[in-house]
Amino acid sequence: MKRKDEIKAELEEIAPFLASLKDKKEGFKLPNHHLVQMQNQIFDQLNFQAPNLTARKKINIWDYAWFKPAVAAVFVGIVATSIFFWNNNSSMKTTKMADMSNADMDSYIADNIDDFDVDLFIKNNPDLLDETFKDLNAEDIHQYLHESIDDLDIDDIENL
Amino acid sequence: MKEITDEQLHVMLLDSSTKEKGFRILMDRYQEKLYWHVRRIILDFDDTDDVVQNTFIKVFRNIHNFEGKSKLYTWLYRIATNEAITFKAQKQKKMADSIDNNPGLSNTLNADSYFEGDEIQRKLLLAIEELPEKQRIVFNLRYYDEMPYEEMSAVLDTSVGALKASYHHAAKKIEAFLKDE
Repeated sequence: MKRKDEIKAELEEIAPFLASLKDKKEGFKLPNHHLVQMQNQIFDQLNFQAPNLTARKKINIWDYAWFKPAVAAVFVGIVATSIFFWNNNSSMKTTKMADMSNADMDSYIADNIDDFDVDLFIKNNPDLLDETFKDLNAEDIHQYLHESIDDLDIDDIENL
Repeated sequence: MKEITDEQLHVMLLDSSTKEKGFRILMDRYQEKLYWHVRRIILDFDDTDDVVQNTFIKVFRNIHNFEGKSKLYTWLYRIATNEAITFKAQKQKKMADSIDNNPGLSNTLNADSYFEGDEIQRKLLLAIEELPEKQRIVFNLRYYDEMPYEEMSAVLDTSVGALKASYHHAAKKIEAFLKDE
């Protein structure tokens, strides 16, 4: 801010009318994502190995072979924990996993995915994370889990 | 996460195992600034892309030549400025051979779909374009990029005193131009 003030004061002293226009830009515009596309062209010219960037770094987490079973394992954890509390809740004591329909289980997992502690999962499974996944924060992972829940095959949970 | 300093970035760029990652960070950090710096010299949308791309490719291939005596970003600005000046000189030489192909800045802005400025912005660009080339660059760096004279000195290889004088003259000329129109 000090530099800005100095430059403004300097200009006001030598060219007060020009100083009054200081906040105006040149008037040029750029198409959306133009600079990102330029980056991709530069990376292509330099034969960079990493995948091309788009407007936002996108990683298809389901491409990682370990991810689906890992997610399934997490859901098992959620379900098992919930069943533990259910079993200790007198009003739901008789409810067992085997008694839940697939639709009920889907619904239960969807309702509780927001409580899933992504940070704890990452901390306890460092060997499951490669360099790229490490760049994702808990919110990114959470979002992927939430978006991907419909694709999860309930058999994956039962087969673990 | 603590931001990587330019000194750390320089180290990354010198190591082949981290050079690509470092370059991506460099681009994220400086691409936009350099783009607009070049655009103000070149003015043309397509030509600016060419110059900026050439700049970054040059940076990537010549990072080993950066001795670290100045700041990394002043070195980037220096390369970008030289690339832009060279490009413009070559283009003007081609245009000088054919007067018909030199439309003038006013007509160029009229035809430019990427210019959406108002009348005063147009006049300001015309006023800046009237300046001698080096003075124009000094003005742009101070007025738009708000670069300190000491850093500008490293970019343009000119003394601080000379830069101040250049900027003051440029600002007065532009003021007079804008008031006369």
